[in-house]
Parts: sequence; C-alpha cells; structure tokens
Amino acid sequence: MNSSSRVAVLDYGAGNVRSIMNALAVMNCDAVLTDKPEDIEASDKLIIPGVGAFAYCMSQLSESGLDVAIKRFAHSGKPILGICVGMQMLFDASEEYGEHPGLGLLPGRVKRLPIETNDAIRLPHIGWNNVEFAEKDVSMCAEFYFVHSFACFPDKPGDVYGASEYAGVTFTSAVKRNNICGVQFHPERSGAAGIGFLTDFVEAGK
Amino acid sequence: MRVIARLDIKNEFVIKGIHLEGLRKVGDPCDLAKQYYENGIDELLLMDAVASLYDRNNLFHIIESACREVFIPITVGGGIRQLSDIDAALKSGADKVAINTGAVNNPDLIREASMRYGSQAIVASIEAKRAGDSWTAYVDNGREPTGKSVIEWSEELAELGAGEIIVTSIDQEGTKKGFDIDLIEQVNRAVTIPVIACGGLGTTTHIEQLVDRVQPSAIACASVFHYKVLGITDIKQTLIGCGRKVREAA
Amino acid sequence: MVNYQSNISVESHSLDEQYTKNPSMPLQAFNGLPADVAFCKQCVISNQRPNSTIEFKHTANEKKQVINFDNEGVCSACRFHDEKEQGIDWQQKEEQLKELLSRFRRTNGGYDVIVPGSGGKDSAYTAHVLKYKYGMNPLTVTWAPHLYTDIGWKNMQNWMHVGGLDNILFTPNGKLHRLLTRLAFVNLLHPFQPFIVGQRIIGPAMAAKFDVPLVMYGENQAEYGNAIDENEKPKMDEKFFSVQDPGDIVLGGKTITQIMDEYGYSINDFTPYIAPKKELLEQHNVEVHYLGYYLKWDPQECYYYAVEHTGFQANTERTEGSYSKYSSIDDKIDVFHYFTTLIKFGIGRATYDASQEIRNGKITREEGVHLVRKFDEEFPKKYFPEFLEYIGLTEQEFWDVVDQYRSPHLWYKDEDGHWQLRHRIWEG
Repeated sequence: MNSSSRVAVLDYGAGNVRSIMNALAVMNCDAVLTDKPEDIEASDKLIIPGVGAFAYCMSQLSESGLDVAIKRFAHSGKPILGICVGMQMLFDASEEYGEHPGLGLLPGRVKRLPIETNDAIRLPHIGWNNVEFAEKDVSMCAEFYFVHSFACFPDKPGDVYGASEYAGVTFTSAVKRNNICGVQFHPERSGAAGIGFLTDFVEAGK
Repeated sequence: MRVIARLDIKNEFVIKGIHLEGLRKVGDPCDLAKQYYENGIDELLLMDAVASLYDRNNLFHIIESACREVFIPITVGGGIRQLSDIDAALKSGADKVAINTGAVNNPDLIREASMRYGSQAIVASIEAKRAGDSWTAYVDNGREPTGKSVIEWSEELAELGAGEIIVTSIDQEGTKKGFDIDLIEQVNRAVTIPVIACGGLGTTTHIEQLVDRVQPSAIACASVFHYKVLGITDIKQTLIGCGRKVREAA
Repeated sequence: MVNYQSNISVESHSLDEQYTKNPSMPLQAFNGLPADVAFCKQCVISNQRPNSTIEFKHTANEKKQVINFDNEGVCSACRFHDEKEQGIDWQQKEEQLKELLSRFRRTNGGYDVIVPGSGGKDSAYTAHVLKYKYGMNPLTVTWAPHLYTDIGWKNMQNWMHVGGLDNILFTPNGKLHRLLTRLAFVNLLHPFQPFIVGQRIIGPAMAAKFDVPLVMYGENQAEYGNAIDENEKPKMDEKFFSVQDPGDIVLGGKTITQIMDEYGYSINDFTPYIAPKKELLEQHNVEVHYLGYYLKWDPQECYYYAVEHTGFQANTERTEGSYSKYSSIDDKIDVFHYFTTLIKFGIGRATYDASQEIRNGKITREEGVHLVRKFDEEFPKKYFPEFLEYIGLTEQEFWDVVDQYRSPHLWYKDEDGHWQLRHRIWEG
C-alpha cells in the first residue's frame, strides 16, 4: 500500500469538515485540512466538502482564490471528490436562490428536484436512499444519506456514475469523468457504507 | 422513514424527563451515541436541555467526541441564538442545528441561517402543548408559553427557510403513552418540508397507529431507547410491516 | 374593614431614610434575624432561612430560629444530606419501616395508615408506595388549598382515579379561612399560615377520629433545614400538632379570643384549627412518622413516580418565582407565600428549589446561583388580582403592608425609589 498518498480536504468555511476528517482518520488516511493552494497542489487527492447554499459556497471559493486552486488540481489529473454542494459546484451553474455560476469542470446545471410534495413526499430530500452505481464493483445495495433540494443534471450521460430515485423521480446521485468524481450524498454520514465508499476513493490507484 | 435517537443532555449526562420536566440521569452521551449508531439508528439528535435556562452552550465538546466514532447525521439543539452559535455547532461536527427559543425571539435568525448554511442545515424545533382544539408553542424546554399557535408558527418557519421541523408533544413526551397523532397530522399538512415526530412512543402499536394516519418523514425517540423498552430493530421492523421504506440496519 | 397596622411599630420608609443619612448606623434586623447575611458555600440558601415554627403560636415580633451554618459556612441541610449520602444504611432503615408497618397493618377491612397530602408529587408517592409496595391500606386526607388551581384539582382527582386510593377532602369554613388568611397576611406577612396550621393538624386529628394510629407524612422538615438532631427521630414532634388550651392558639397574629370578639365568631367555628389534645392522641396511640426517615427522599424521583403511577401532571407553565413546573402547584396562594419569604428573609422560591436540587445532585451550585438570579425576585403577576380580592386589599394597601416587613438589614431604597436587596448571592 502506498502510504505516502496524501488527501487534501478543502477548508473554505462551508462544510462539515470535522466528520470527513474523522472518517479519514478511521481509515488511517494521511489527510490534511487546508485552505492553502500550495498544500492542495502538493497533495495526491482532493476532497471538496459542501454544506450550505451554493451561492455562498461559491463566493467563499472565489474570494479566497481556492476556485483557481481547484481548477488547477483538476487539470493536473489527480483525483477530486466533491461531496453534496461540493459536487454541485463542479458544474456550470446552479439555480438555487437565483442564477449562480459554478466551477464549470463538468457540463451541466444544478436545478431543483422536480418533485411534487404531498403528505408523504417532502423537500428537501432528507434521509437514506439507495444508489445504483454504473460500475459493478461498487456495492449496489447500500443506502447513503442525502440532504438536498437541488440535484445535478449533467449534460453528458456518460458522466452519470450513480442514480437514485425519490418520489418516483430518478436523479443523478453520483458523477464521474476521468479524475473528477462527485456524490450528492454524504459518505462521511452514511455509516459503514459511506466509510466503505470513502475508503475506495482514498485507496484507488494504489 | 427515518428513526432518530434523541439525547437530552445536561452537563455530562444524558437525562430523561417527563413532559420536559425532571433531570433523571440515564447514561453517558458518547456511550449511548455510539451504541445507537452501532445498532443501526439513522440519525442522532443531541439537545442541550438547559442551555436556555443557563444562557450558555455546553454541548460542543460532546459533539466533537461523539463524531470521532459515529458516522451518521447529528443534529444539535438547545441555546442556538445567533449565527456564531450555528457556526460553532457545525464546526464541532454537527450537520444540522435545531432552533426553538432563538427563532421565537428572532425569527430572522431562521432566514439568515438558511441563506448562509442552506435550509437543510436548519431544523426548526417546536414544543407543543395542547390547548383545547389546538396547540400552543413553548420555549425554554417547555417552560414558557409563547401564545403562538403551533400550526401557524410552523407555516411561518417553513416560509422563513427552515429545512425541517421537529415537533415535540409536551403532553406526551416521556409518558410512553403514544404520539399526539392529531398534532403531527396537522403540522405535516401545514408544511411541505420534512416533519419529525417526537414525543410519546412506548410500544410498536403506537407506531402503527401513527403511520395509519400520517406519514412524517421521521420519528424521534428517547425514552424507549434510554430505558431499553424497544430496540431500533423492533421499530424498523414495525415500519416495514406498515409498508414504510426504512434503511436496513447496517 | 381590616385594621392593618401591624405589630411592627416603625415605618420602614422613614427607617430607610435614616440609614441613608447615617451610613455608619448599625442596621436593624427584624425578628432577631442574623445581622450579617451569608450564603451557604454548598447550596444557595442564606442564613436568614427560618426553621419551621409552631404556627398556632406564631406572633409578629417573635425571634426567628434560623438554619444553622457551621464553621465552614455550610448549612445544616447540606450537612444532613452529606450524612445521608455516606453514613446511613438504607437497607436497615427499610427494615425498620417494614417492622413499623407490620405493627399497624390490617388485613380485615380497615385503614391502617393516614397519609395527609394534596396529591402533589410527594404525597402521591407516599400514599401509593405504602399501598402498592408495602401492602398497607392508607386513607389519604387533604386539607383543601385556599384557592385550588385547575392542575391541582386534576392531580388530586387522578391521585384517586388513576392511583387507586381513598381520600377525604376537608374544606374548612371558607369565610373564616379567608379572614384568617387576611389577618395572617397583614399581621405576619404570612398568608399561608392557616393552611400550614390545618395541614399539620389534620393528619393526627383524623387518626384520632378514625382510630387509625399511624400517620405518615412525606419529608422531614429537617430535610430542609431544621436542627440536624431532629432527623435522628422518625417522628414529628408533637409540639407541631398538639395544644393544651385553645385559648393559647394564635392565628393571624391574634388569639382566638380576640378574633371571636372582633369578628363575631364562636369557639366552635375554630374547630378545624384546634390541635388535638395530647391526652386524646395518647388515648388513640397516635404516632406521626416521616417516610423520608426510612426511605431515601428525592423529590424529583417522587415526580417521576407520581407521573408513572398516579396520573400526576406537571403544570403547563413555569411557576413564577422559580424554574420548575412540578413543585407545589395546587394553591394559587402558594406563590404569595414565597413572595413573602422573599420580603421577610430575602429568600424566594428559586432559592428554596435550587438549594434542594443542589443537595440532590441535580444541579451545580453555579447553576443554582444562575437560577436564583433569573427567577428569585420575579413578582407573581398571574394570580395577583385574585389574591387581592381574596384578602380584600387594594394594590396600594398590599404594598403598604409588604413594605413594613422589609427589614433594614436586608432592604434599601435605590436612587429611583425602588426597593433593592442589599445582598444578592450572584453579586460577589
């Protein structure tokens, strides 16, 4: 096992970073929580957490210059994992609280889940849900924890890595293109299944 | 439907009252959190039972400890009064915050917080006591009546941007005599955001009675877990039996 | 029209002026209370806290016996509690209880213990546990509150209907009771006195009447601060409920004879307030015990027990002057009892409640201080109009009476003319 694989977790003031760090600690990952472009650049993998409103998160990134660091990292070919809003920001734009541009690393938009609420169906989509992954080596039966009202709508079907169903509507719950990966759910909050997913990400390519 | 374990905490102890009164100690927060996580609970709700009473926040170090070994969503409530409190809660490891007294005193807090952190991180908490045909909202852990109608207040909270509402029946909580189904039904109907029903679970029949009439997004239980009356599996099996989708305990 | 010149002869307003002009003048302490105010180092009670009085001998100018503080500044209630935690063999005490009960237990259809109480958490626990755990056959007896609250009435009914107990509710002549309350308020600033007198008497009196020798109260008053050696005894001292000559009885600061003369009552009207004669009690072998002597007493656990077994419900809102919702919630006058202790001793309800919870390990002293600061001086607005009507005073008359009892060593007037306590536990 390549023990010198270092994972940078982006610290940009909007994300439940502590859970991610704790989860990474459990798998003995060499992880660093950072807001410094040089640390990011020096790492082998990057995780972009995300809790909060899209616009706010993006403004935190652009004000700190970390948006540039992310793009540079993406173009280096090293693996990136975006979680929840972190995944959403990979795309061109979001419609949450108005029109806001994203990082544009993946073509597509972020839009409200087209759900009709009723007694039993609610928005935000909060709770555990199955994910059907495109690749067969990822567990098909596991449930992960979702908490969102908006979802990603990738332009390219080939980018869809995982799909879920809520209230009869299928939406993209995971994306992947080359080194860029994103998940709408929170692996650091999805119990053993989530830890398994993160472990796969951390260990991949070793 | 999610099954949530609610831990009311005072200093270093999990406590359990009846009608939100009484401070009987029932266990250690981190031990219980870990135990429930390992037994398949879907989420944890950690409430500081006396934050409003003593004008302080005490739970953050407990959250930090619990988070090291527990990898499911954690909501923290009690004494959340301003954005900096929310910041501290999320930084210590919480995913969501539950706000009651803070919102009654300053409804804009909900609006600002949901804009800043996203509505999904903001759970509005309502303590409801029956008053004739309707319910009045209370604050300070069931200590002070606000004169607000619970149904109208829940509508307002949803409009302000809350992501979820947790409604606790003061009349039923701690009694193990069943949910206040009318209350949950009416709150659920009043809003389109997820509603978490809390207060009164004692037997699996109570779950069947509840689900027969209303589909809340989640139920939060305390007494049955802390006093080992029901297991998490018992509850989930019952829900499955009623045709609800639940996360298989893992 | 009630003459409300109290027995305290100086006007406190002019007294306060004198002290303001002469700051070095030693401050007078009414009723012989300790001149220096101190707070217990472990709980939050102050050294002004009076011990239980023999109510039917209570006069306005009497010197008050107060709770004892030892050399380390710790009060006797805390010391008693510390002893409770360490020194006492509770198993042995329970054996003593069982042995006591076996002496009185009846299995042939008849009551074998009188439990006085209101159906509040303490008496609810006492009666229920005696019946359902220890196999006794209690008759609960209730001396009616001055003014029943809705929740108090409901809890009392549930005590019977849910708890499964027998009860006799005794309501004294409302007109006389009201007069006595008014007199007690004006002459002693102690509106609760008639209730306390009745409550203490009714147990032994009923015991004698029904020929049921054993009376069991809940907690020992020493639990709350009488002399520690009072706790060595399981029984209530008969001085609290027995009197030789009815003429000796003083109610509302007046002798019964005076009240009869001034208001046209007869000795028969005072029947409920006349404590049984010693001989009568001896004849019926009446013994008055405290369950708190035999079983470890935890008022909060009584709350849980009462909810689970007797249909007890806490109040819908916090009691004014304190933070809890389950203590003493059946009488509208109750809050004014604590308001008057605030005036006379600088101690409000929150102080009493918090001190007890500190001793029982429910809260820390720091938390207790915070609660006292937050709630102790809160005025009981909710039932104020009803209280004024009950005692027949206007609001102005109410404050005129109250102000006369502000001892200079406790109170002063600030620059805005508002009364302030000189010593507050959270200040320094």
